[in-house]
Amino acid sequence: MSHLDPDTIALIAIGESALPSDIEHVRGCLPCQGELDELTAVASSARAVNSEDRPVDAPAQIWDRIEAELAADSRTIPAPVTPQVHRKSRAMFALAASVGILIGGLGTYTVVASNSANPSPTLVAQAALEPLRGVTEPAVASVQQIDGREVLYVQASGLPATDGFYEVWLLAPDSLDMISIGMLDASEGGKFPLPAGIYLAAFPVVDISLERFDGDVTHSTDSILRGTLTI
Amino acid sequence: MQTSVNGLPTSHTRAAQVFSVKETADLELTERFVAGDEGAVRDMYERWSSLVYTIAFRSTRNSEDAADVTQSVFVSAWKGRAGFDPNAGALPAWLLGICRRKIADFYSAKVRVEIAATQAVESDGSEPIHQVDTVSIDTIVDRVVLADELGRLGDPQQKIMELAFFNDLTHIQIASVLDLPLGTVKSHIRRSLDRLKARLEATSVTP
Repeated sequence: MSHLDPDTIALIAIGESALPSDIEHVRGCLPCQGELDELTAVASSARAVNSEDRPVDAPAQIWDRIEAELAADSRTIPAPVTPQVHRKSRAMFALAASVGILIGGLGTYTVVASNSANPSPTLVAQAALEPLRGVTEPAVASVQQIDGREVLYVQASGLPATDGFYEVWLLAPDSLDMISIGMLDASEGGKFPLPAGIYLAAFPVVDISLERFDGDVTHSTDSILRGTLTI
Repeated sequence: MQTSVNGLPTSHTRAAQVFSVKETADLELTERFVAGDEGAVRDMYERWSSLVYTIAFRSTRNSEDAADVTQSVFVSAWKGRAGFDPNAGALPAWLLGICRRKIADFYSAKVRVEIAATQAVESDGSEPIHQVDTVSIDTIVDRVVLADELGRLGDPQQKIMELAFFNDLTHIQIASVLDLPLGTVKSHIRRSLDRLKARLEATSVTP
């Protein structure tokens, strides 16, 4: 039995009437039926396209912004791509996969109605920071709202003495994007006013890294404490 | 005289053949991207920013938010290039995957801001219902990709498909309106559908 002519299948797919014998063939023929189903799905999606779906050019300044952001980054990375950069990304990703999931549930989240008349701090979110490497004591991070500004507090004790320093980061859930929040004083903990407009939901992971004075401002991948603010 | 109509091959052109030139260009761009050539980002932007921006604009319905999403998509693509596996899917599919994620992030951030705003007035603990409709993001992606490909069909294919899809004309009516042989219209419809299908497959996220 020969198959239906592909042109005929296409016509049926776009909704044209078919000969009874063709319909009968398709019903009994798996390859023809499969082909027809696929093309029918494409045709019905295409019919739903309207003028708003037509791609428009992105405004020119977006590229300038991308270029500026990438340039700011590449100033911190000696070579555009080195095996080290690859390793860093993968290491971060693997850490996020193994640790993030484990810890994700431990963060506690509290929201209290904000009261603009009252300048006293309001707890916005809180997370338990679990020790990862070289640290035994868990720590706590909290975000408080003070006078309409969000401030991240890190209370950590038991951080070992180091010839480097500790840095606080907010990471995206997949650890691809991160924001450096500041240096953490190992003995006193830290208070870090967050940039206005930061979306904690996009950067909910509080991460403390051990950094060396090597002039490299990117994350060392040596995370020692980490926890997720559940938002 | 045995010849093709309008110079078209007489045999059915498979989507793969239609795409061969484009695929080679994509492959070359993919290799440069994987190798860490910074110029590849610019070329990716040239090639796919209108898709990304339009999808973002259709999703956020705001040009500033769409610009932010577009910027973060290309920056994340570059920074996260170590996570791109050419064997797992094509570069545009991966890029649009990031785009979907950034739009979802946008919604969750927006929800957070709205919750914070409404919680000041809602003390009964009832949660405003917000949900990112991933089906609708996928639908938007498919439609924008199809609109893009329809625009690239060239004439008379584009005209033929528009008459078929949006004016509900049969191939016989289309042949009459455009004064083209029936066989030509039929094979154009077939090939154009193949092309649309291949394009959708090339941009869909690997399951």
